[in-house]
Amino acid sequence: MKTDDHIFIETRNFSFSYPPTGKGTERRPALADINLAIEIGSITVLVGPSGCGKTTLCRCLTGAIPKLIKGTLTGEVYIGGREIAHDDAVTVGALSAQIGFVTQEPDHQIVMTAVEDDIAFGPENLMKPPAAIRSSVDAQISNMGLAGKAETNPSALSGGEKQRLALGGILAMNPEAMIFDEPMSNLDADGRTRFTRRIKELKSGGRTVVIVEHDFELFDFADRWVLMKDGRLICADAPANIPRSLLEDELWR
Amino acid sequence: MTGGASNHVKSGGLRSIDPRPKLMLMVSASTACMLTGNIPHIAGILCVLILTLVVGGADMLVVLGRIRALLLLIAALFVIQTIFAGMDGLLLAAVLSLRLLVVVLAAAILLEGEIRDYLLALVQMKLPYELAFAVIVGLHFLPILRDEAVNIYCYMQLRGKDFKKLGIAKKLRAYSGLCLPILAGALRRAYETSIAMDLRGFRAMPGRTSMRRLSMRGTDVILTIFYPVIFIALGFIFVR
Repeated sequence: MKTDDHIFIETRNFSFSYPPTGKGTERRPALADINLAIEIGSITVLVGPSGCGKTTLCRCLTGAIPKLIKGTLTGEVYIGGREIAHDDAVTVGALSAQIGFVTQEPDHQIVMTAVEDDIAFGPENLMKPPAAIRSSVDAQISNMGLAGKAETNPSALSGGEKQRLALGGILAMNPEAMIFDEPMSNLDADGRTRFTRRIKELKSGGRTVVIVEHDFELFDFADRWVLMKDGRLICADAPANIPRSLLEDELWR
Repeated sequence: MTGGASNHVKSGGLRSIDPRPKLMLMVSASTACMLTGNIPHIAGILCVLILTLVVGGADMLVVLGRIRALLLLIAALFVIQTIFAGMDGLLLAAVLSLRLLVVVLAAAILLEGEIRDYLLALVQMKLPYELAFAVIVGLHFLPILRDEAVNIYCYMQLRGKDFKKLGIAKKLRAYSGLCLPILAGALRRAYETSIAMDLRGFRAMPGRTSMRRLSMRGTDVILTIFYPVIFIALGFIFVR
């Protein structure tokens, strides 16, 4: 069944469990009965305590689960109207042109030995023309505040700079939707301001954005906050409509 | 060459040479010294390598600093071989040590260049890009693993483990405790990085484009031909 045209990401009755670590060690579902629809051009913030399944949900939306990380899965995931979880023809690499994922740990994401090469890594994989890659890389270096560090080895960058590099590497791929897993964790005040500004720019450019963030109050301009606990969705609504008591009492009790 | 050196290394000399002559030097020098057992021939190859470093403007003190541990190892191997095999072993030890020196110096010449340029060179030489990336990702991990090892070493000291005061047996046990978290961290990191690479479109397409492109100048072409020719010529001169 196809999704509505204005929905870019959708999960239906989606549940997932990681494989058991040994005999008789059946794990509880990391995600249980998730029904979520994210509109094109919207900003959604996933909120919840550590271990509630936010990162697992992000991995499902990128196709990493179940294509790369195996486990028990039921339900469906739609990206751009196409079911991806059960369709073997859909690869994670092909999905990367549609959905960009910035991981929690920039060290895991950065693979090249120079800043400009790392930003170019994604577009090169997607076989974009060299001239287009060069202009995109130069723009990201400037936007991410990495001017003068194009040929620096990323291992010499600070935590915040690495985070910005990881972000620039995904933005250079120009995907239709972007998922950020705790993007603020290594950023200073200036970096946070730049990042929130960039998110607003992405929205105005029609991009769909999903953010996992503990410091969700910074994203009061988001279209929706989605509250998660113990692998389940508790509530999904505009930030103004979510009672603060629910956030304080239910999630972190 | 379009790719410049990074901002913390001096440019010019060996660093301004295309990576392909250096790769050719490495392959031809190590192949030649493995095929021949003639000491003057290997010594001649060694002289070419030293001349390349000197003429190429390499800082010899830095080069010696980099290979110091390996030089000590080669010296130790020479002594051991000589002691246990007597006079017959002396020649064998000399050949073995010279061969190892050739390989080490050729590697030192390779280090006078940027890893990113070697990756590009290998890809332009039609090596499957998956293989070339396996090498570069491995090299990318080295400084990260070194930092992790230093961190774990510091954490263990902060928790009261004084490595300097331990005896050899206890020191070995303590170091094994150091190795396990590094190994576990490396495995986890490799797993996460492989997922992140796929999420960035690695192997999504039948090939990949490249933002930069290396182009060989006349000097680079001449050097690429020069090294194998000179090593073969030295063989004709010394091996009669």
